[in-house]
Amino acid sequence: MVLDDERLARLGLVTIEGLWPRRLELLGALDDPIGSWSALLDGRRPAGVAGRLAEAWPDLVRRARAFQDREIEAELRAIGAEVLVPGDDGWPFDDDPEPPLAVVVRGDRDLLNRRPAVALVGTRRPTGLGRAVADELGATLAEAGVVIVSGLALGIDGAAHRGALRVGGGTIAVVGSGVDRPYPARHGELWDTIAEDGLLVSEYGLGVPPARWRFPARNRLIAALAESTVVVESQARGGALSTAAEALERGRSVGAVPGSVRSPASDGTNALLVDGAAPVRGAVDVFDLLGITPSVGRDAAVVALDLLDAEVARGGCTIDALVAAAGGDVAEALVEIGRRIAAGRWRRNGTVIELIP
Amino acid sequence: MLAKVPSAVVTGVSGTPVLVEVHAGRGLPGLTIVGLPDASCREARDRVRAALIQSGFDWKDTRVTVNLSPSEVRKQGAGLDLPIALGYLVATEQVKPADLAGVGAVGELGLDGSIRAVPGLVCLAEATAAEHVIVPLDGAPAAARIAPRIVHGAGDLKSLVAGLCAGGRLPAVVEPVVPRHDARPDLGDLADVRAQPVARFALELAAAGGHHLLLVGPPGAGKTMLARRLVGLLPPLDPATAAVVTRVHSAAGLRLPACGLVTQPPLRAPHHGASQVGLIGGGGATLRPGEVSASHGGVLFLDELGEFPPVVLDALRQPLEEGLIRVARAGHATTLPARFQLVAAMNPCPCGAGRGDAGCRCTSAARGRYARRLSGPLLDRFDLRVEVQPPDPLLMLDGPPEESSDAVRARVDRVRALAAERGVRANAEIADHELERWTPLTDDARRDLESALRSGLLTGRGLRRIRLLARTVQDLRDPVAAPDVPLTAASVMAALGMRMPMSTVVGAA
Repeated sequence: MVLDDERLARLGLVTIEGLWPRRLELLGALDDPIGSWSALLDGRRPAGVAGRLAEAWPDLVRRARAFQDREIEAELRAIGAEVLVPGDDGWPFDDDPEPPLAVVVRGDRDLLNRRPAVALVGTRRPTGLGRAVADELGATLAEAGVVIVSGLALGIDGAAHRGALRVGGGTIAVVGSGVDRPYPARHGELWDTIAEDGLLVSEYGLGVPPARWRFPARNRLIAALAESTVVVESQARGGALSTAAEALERGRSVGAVPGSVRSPASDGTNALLVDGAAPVRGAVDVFDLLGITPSVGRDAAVVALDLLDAEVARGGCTIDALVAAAGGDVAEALVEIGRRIAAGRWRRNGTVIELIP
Repeated sequence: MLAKVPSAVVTGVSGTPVLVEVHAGRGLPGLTIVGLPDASCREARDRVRAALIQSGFDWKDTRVTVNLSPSEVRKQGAGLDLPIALGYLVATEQVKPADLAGVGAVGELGLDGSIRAVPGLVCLAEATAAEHVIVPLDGAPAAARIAPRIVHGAGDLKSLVAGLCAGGRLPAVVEPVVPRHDARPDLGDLADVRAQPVARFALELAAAGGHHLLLVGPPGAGKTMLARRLVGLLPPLDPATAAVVTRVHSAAGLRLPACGLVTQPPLRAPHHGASQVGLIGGGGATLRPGEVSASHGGVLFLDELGEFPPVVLDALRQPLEEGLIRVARAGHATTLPARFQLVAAMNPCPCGAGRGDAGCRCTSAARGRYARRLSGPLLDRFDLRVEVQPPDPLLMLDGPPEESSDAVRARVDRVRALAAERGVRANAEIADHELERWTPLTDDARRDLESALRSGLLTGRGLRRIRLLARTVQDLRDPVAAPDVPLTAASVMAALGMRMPMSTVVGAA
């Protein structure tokens, strides 16, 4: 990939330290990134720059020049990353009210354009139940061909990604640091897996460290990349609720998994439900939310069975119920059930089939 | 004077020829029976005397000796009443010997002179060493179908002898009735089994492949109803089997169909409280066949499998392996046919709940006892091990209509035809050394089986059985295929799904 001036300018603006969104706006970078960038390189201060930004100006100029000296192309190539800017094929943020200047992607780029996509987000401190629900939703939806978008955070995010990966489905992780800066450390392995089998997306350049303010910002990209956002568990305050708000702002549907009124980890999701979010009890409800009947080139009976993952997740059901709901072809259904058991997703407990938590 | 009337006694399911010799001569008046008669046989003396007098014949003041030859064979039952009576009439010169030449007889006499059926009539008529055999009217059709004899049915002694005296006229010959295959006993239609798709599929597989079937489920799940419907799916008996089944049922004293021949596979459902001899066979001096043999060619249904005495369950192994059962009693032994399809039902655990850890109230010790009772070897014989739940009542009312037995039987017949091309009656009978020939595996199927073996889901025997079951699954889905088309992974996986792991069967103790 050759980095043209525009690509380089946009990448530089989202890479160098000290340029948060408000400052980019003040620099006029959102309307004229090339102009802003060359101003930085030249060191001539635009008219609007004053106050704290003016004080920081010399540092910014120094960092811009240092960036220009980096072998950015080689760095990108080394980790298999690409830069996407507006106008690129597959740029997903054309109609977005708050598009990023550029995004760096790493992994299977086609995922950006695969439809439908659902964001599964939630708290970093989930209950075991919430984690299981996230995992199962991720797996069931992904197996039916839905791309799972999330934020690679601990807790719900990670479980959703893992669910999708387990069944060989597609998953996109929008991260709050450079795609070469795994965070959190405990998700290092998951990070690498997604870079390999899924897609990492960041609106920051390589080497950019995670920072508190970047995570709420990346939430808007999660919402932007998905048709629907489902919050699995969230405390009364939390990043997941901001993702839901971003989704609403973009006119996307929002769903929430109901929880016990005694569970603090469901305070936020229950509040969403009170405010009118769609209750999500399982994959079936998500398909309703998307307004589609899943049939991604697969047998209707088999897909019907996928929907039953939700049923099983809710507390186990008998084989007869599974088969009946899968369209009645017993042999076909048994094959699917057998595969799920063999894959370690379901197990038999007495006469009921249930999820392995 | 001396008279000889051929007759027979029954042992197990075969007859032994007996010659009834009656001698009337001077001496202290009376009748003695010699030649190893048992109590019921010795009682013939009193029945014969009353029957003769009631029928208007003379009871002479002579010394009468009845010898039952060969004398070393133990004689049991009342079947020798009629030949003794006829012999007496000849010996006392009330019937001319020529009128009874070449005629044998079998039957019990009532005190009024009526001739009544006895168990094992078919075998008795068969074994009687005479061209013509007189048998009781009730049971004559069966004897006429099986025995290579000219069979005459007689209703009472008086008219029988009247005919004999009028120029040696025997009662009318009983012609074999052509059995009607469509005359199925009413065992219920599969269309009644609703909202239980797995159970329905299990029945279809069992019928098509002849696989033994274990139904695991709580009381009220309809296990007995399912077993009855399996019999309705089976093809009619082939002529050779029909003859054997008729013999067995006759020997066991079971009611035979009007046409005489048992043409439909039988269903036997003994209670777990039945005696061991009643189940396994060998009762009495005749070594009467038990329920296990009565189900030959059909279905043996054992409800509450876990409640049967272990000694009975152990005794099932030989018939399951060899299709026959050997019974030995003091002095004599015999083999009885016992090739049946075993259908058993049981609760998942002693309390019957079995719905996961939460629903079960059994202590682990109770589960352990239950599990030990049904340990490995027997459960391993069941190719099909499925759980049945009481159907959802709403689905029973509003669910879609289900296929009828006739529709399913059409598929079953096609699979049986494929089995015939493989040289067996049903896929479950494919021998070990033919396994590779008739159940080759695709690479995917082999992989799935290997991983099932590794995960401990399958034993060595289980592996063999699962291939046969997968064969049936695939035959049902693709009945026009060649008999040796390789098994697909889907067939293997579906077969695995129809064979619950042993640990689940016994409640995952």
